[in-house]
Amino acid sequence: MTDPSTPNAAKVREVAAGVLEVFLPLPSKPSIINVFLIDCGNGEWALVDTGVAREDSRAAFAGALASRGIDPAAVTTLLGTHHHPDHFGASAAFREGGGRRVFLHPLEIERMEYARTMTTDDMLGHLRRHGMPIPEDFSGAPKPTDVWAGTFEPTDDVDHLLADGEVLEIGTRRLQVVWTPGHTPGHCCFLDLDDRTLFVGDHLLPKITPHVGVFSTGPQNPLGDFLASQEKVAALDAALVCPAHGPIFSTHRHRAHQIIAHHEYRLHEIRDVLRAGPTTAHEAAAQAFAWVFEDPDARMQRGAAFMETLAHLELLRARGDAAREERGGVFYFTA
Amino acid sequence: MVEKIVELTGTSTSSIEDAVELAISRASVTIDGIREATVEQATAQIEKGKICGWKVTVKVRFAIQDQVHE
Ligand SMILES: [Zn+2]
Ligand SMILES: [Zn+2]
Repeated sequence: MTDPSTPNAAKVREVAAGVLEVFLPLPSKPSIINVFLIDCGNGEWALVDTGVAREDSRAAFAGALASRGIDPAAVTTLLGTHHHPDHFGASAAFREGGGRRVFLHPLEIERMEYARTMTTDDMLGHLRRHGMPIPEDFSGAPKPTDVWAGTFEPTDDVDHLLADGEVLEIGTRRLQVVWTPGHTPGHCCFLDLDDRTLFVGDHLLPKITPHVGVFSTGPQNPLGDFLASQEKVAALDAALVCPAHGPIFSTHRHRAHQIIAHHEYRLHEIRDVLRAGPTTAHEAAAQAFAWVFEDPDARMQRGAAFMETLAHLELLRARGDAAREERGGVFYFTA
Repeated sequence: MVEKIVELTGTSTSSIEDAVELAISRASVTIDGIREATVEQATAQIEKGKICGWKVTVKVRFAIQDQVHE
């Protein structure tokens, strides 16, 4: 927990020349998101991610700006790594201030549209097709839009659509867009071409692995994309990594390879489950994430565990290490 | 050179080799430079008179790589 007596000055610190890290509170775990203010010269600042649309986050951000004597109007450009509430949830409020621009990858706009229009039935159908035993009259499922209520107020006005490899020139800064699909289809990292500082959003976290799941709306093989994106980032020349959650670090190559090794291990484990006989994604998840399915308190994590297992199953299938067959409207995987 | 040894178990529904591979792949997430693994024990899990799985205990040996400050 954050100590309420901590002065705002302690919630912002300079991590590289002209780069300020600001810690903003989140209502659930992980409990903090790091957003980054980048000094672009001539009194102009760019911001990587926004935090959620909640009063405590707004106040923490305003306090951080005030403690550094930065006029909110000087923060002219929002670089969105991806659309999730902790990263893009407060973008509508940011955009309202005049003279401000918002940058985001087009596939993230598509995901937000899906999130808005997806119904409970779409979600339940997806889960049932993959073997989750949900009664026909089940009514306890939250609407997909309810899950993010109170934290997600994204702007519809994106001023610039990010493209892989393009170099954004903001004041004196040159930031290269590195498209890293996987955690979300349009996730982007930003590499400062002069200082070699890499802003990675949720793509490359130092302590935890970001969730990679298969949604009913696709894409089909996000884990394949994610692992390719890890190789892509490992090949970059970076001096400092600024993640959205957890401490700043410098060993981006080592961490990317560690994350790949983690998923190779999970692939191995899940393929072994299939070898015992045809298995639904739900059955495979219950074995591969046994601790989640056995602990009633971890109930909320079951959906994520299921979608992540499905991502591993689809990658096995794409590699030719597993096959899928349909029986009575339910998908079974074999190896 | 000083090496370190870590003991871990792995299970598989299909073979001893697979159970060993699973244990090694997990160890490799957090341990760099594994050189050798010794299978200490292999136990067949039996159901209705048939082998339904394997559980192995392996000792993994690796060189200690002290981090230098960069
Ligand atoms: Zn995210
Ligand atoms: Zn996040």
